Amino acid sequence: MKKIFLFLFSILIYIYFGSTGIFFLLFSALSSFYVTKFFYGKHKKLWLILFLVSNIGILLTLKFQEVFHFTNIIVPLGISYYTLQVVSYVVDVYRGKIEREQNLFTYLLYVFYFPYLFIGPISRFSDVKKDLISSKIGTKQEIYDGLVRILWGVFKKLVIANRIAMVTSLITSNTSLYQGAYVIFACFLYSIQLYADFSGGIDMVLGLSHCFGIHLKENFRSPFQSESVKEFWNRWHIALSTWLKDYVYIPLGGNRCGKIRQKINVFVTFLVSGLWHGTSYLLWGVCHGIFVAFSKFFSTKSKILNRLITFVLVSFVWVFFLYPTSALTASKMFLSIFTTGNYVSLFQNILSLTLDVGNWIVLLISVFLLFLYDFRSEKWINFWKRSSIEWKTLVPCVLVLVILLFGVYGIGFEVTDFIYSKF
Amino acid sequence: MKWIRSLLIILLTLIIFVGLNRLVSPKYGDSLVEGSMTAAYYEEEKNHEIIFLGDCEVYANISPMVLYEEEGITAYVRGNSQQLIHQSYYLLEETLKYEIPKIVVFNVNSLRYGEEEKSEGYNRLMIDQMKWSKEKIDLIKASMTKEENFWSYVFPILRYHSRFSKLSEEDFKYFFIDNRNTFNGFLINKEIRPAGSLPTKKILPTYEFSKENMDYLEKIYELCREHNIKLVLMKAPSLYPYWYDEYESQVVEYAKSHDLDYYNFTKVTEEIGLDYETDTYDGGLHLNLYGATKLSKYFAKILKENYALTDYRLDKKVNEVYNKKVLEYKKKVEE
Amino acid sequence: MNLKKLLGIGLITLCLAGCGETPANKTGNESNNTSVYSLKVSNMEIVPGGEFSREKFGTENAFSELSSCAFEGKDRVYTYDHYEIQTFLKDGKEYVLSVYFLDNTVKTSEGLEFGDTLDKMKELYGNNYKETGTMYEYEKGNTTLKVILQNDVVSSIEYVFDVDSLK
Repeated sequence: MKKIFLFLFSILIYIYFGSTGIFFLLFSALSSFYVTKFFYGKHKKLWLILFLVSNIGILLTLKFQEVFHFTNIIVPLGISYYTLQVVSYVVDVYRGKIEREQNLFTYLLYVFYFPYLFIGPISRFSDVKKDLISSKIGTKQEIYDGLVRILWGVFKKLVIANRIAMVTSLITSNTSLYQGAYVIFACFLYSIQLYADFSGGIDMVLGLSHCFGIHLKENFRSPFQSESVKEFWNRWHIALSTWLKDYVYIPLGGNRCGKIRQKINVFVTFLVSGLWHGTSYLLWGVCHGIFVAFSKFFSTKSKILNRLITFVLVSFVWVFFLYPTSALTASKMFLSIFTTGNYVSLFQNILSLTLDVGNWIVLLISVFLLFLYDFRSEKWINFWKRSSIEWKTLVPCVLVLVILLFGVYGIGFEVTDFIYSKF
Repeated sequence: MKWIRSLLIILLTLIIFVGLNRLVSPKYGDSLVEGSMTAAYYEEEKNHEIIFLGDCEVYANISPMVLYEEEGITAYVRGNSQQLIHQSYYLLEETLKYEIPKIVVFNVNSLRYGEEEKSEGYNRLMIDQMKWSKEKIDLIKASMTKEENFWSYVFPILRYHSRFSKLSEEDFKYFFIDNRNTFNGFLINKEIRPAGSLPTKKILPTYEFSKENMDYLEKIYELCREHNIKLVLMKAPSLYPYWYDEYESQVVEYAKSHDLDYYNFTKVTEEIGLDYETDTYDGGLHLNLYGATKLSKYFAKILKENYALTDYRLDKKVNEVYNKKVLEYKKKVEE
Repeated sequence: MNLKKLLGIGLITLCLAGCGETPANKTGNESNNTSVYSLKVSNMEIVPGGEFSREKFGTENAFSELSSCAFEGKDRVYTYDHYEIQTFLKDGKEYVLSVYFLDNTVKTSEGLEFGDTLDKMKELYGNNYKETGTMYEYEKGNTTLKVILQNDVVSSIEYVFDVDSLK
C-alpha cells in the first residue's frame, strides 16, 4: 500500500502546488515510458530524437519565455528536475544499460515521487526502483534517522539560510547603495546561504525518503572541503554533475579526444549547466568551465590554500545568482569592488544590515556547527551510532527548541516598532 | 530505566518550551503601560456591580476608585486600547463567567470602527494576557487580521521568537506576573496638555455604523438581557475624533428602541466642570486624572440616583478591601 | 555520436541566443512624480509621501498633534488657508501623509474641485475607481485620490499616501 499512498499523495501535492503544470509532467512521464517501446524496432534513433527534442524543447521553451516573449505559460514546478530524470531513463534504455520498465505504475511513481520532484536529487531509475516498489517502509532506526535528518535540514534552512537571506536580499535590493565590498561580502555569505538552503532541503528529502525506506543518493558531500573547482562539482549538487557527465560530457567525447577537445567538452558541459539554471546564468557556467578546464592554474601545493582558493572562486561567481535578472548587472556589481571600495563603510554598517549582535552570534555559532558537522570524522559518526538513547532523545529535542527560537520564519515582531514607529 | 531518562528529557524540553514562550512574549510593563490591563481583572474579587466596556475613552476617563469614594459603588473597567466592539462583547461574555454585575456601561465610540481599525498590535495588547477560554478563542478568530495566525496565539514563540536578541530587563522582571498599573481598570495619567486647535471636521464617505457593529451591539444587549443586567450607553467627553451628529442620532435611536439609558457627556462638559486647559493629557482626546475625577464624580451621582446600587461603604468586608485600594490610589495620585 | 554533436551544437546556438539580456527590472521609482498623484498649488507641488517642512510649505494657520490610543505615535496636522496637511514621521524626518481640501479655491492637478459632478470626475480620472457608497478612490503608484460626493456633487477631495508601501 506504500506505493499507492506515495503515488496518490504525490499527485495531490503536485496539483496543489503546481496546478496546471501537471499536464506537462504527465506528458513527460508518458512520452518517456512509451517511447522506449520503439527502441526494439527499426527507427529507434528517430524516436529518441523525437523524444529528446520534444521534452528538452518544452523545457527550453518555457525557460526562455522571458527572453523571447512568445508565450506566457506558468513554468511547471520541478520541470528542470523531472525532465532530466526522464531523459536519463530513456537514454539508459536506449543504450541498453537498463531494461525497459513494463509496469506503467512503477514508472509513474518514479517520475511523480514527491520528495525529489521539486528540488531533486535527480535520481536514476535503476537506483530507486527497488526501494520504491518495495512494500517495506523504514525500520525503527531508519525512521529515527530520517526524522533527525529532516530536523537538521530544517535547522539549516530556517536558522542559517533564511537568516543570511535577510542580509543578502538587503544588499542586492539596492545596487546603487551597496557596492564594492558589500557585493563581495554578499558573495561569501551567499555561498553559505545557498549551501544551507539547498542541502537543507535535500536533507529533508532524503530524511523523509529514509522514513519510507527509500534510499536516495547523497547530493552533497562536504563541498567546502574541495581543493579545486573540479572536486567541488563532485561534492556539490552531485546528482546534476553526474547527469551532465553521463549525458553531455561523455557523449561529447569526454577526455578521449585530446586535450583541446576535452577542454571544449568541459566548457559545453558547464554551459549546459548554466543554461539548466536559467538564461542569465550562462556567464556563471562559462566561469566554472574556465575554473575546471584550467584547474591547474588555480592550484597550489598547500591543501588549505587550495580549499580557500576554491571557496573564493566559487563564492565570487555566485554573484550571478545574487543579481539574477541580468548577467551584465551582476558583472558590473562584482567589478564595482575596483571602483567603490566601501570596506570601511561595510565594517561600520555591519550591524545595520538587518541583523543585530544577537543574530550575528546565532549565525556564527550555527555556521560553526554546520562546518563541524560537515567536517566530522568517522570517529564521530560511530560515536553517534553507538550513543545512548538519552543522547538520541536530547539531540532532536534541542534541535526543535533551537529551530523554534532561532529560526527565521513567520512575521517578525518588534515591540519597539510599536512604541517608536513614528519617531 | 533508560526510557525514563528519555521521558524526563522530553518533559524538560516541554518545560523549557513553555518557558521560552513566556520569555519571548512582550511583557510591556513599564515600556508600554497600556499592555498590562487585561490580566489585572482576574485577581480581583468579583463583586462589581458595574462593568464598564470600551476603549481608551473608558480606561482613561472613568475612575472606579472615585465612584467608590463618592457613592460606595464597586465597578471595574474592562477596556483596552482601541478595543473594538466585538472584543468588548467577548470580554463581557468572559466576565459573566466570573460575576453577574447589575449594570454594564458601554462606551459607544467603538461603533464607528471598522476593518481598518483592526490591528495586530492592539490585538496582542489585549488578547495575550487573557486566560484561555472559549471566549478567548472566539475573540481571537473575530479579531485576527489577515496576516495573523491562530496558532501564534496558542504558542507565542511562533510570533515573538525574533525577540530573542532584544530581550530586556522587563522580560525577566515580569516573567511570572504581569505588571499591575491600573486601579480597577483605570489608568492614571497626570500629564496636562491643553486642548489647542484641532483638525478640520472631515466629510466621511458614510456615517452609518456597520451592520457587523450593530449586530455586536445587539449581542451585548441580548447578553445583558439574558442575565438581567441593565445595559447603559455612554459617550465619553472627547473633543476629537469628532462625534458626528449622524452617529449621535443612530445611538439615540437605538437607545430609544431598546429602552436604554444613554448619557452623552460631550454635551454636558460645563455641568461636569471640565476645563480642557487642565483636564486633558493629549489636547482633548482623553481626560487626564483631573478630568476623569470630575467626570467620575458627576457620573457617580447619576448612577446612585437612577439605579439601585449598593453602598459598599456600609459593608465591613468590602469596605476594608476598597479602603486599602483607595489608599494606594491616593498615594499614586499624590506621587 | 553525430547525433550528440548535432544536439550539442543546437544547444550552444540556443545558449548564445539566450545570452541576450532579460529586460532588467527597474527598481521602483518613488521619486518619479509622474507615477503618483500630486497637487499643484500656486508654485508648489505637494506630493503625498514627499518631504514636509515649514520652510517649504509655509507657516500654518493651525497646528495640532494628536496621539493614538497607545503606541502608534502622534499624527501632526497643519491647517492652511485652503487645505490641510497631515504628516508622518520616519527616521526623524517628516513626510506628507495626506492633503485634504478645505474649500473650492483649490483644484487638483487634473482640474477637479468642489461642486464638480460625477461625470466631470470620470472625465478627468476615468473609470478605474473603487466605489464605496459615495466615495470614489483612484490609485496611482502609492497614492490614492479620494473623492466623496454629497448630493451628487464633489464635496470632499483628499490625497492619501500609502504608508504601508514603505515597509
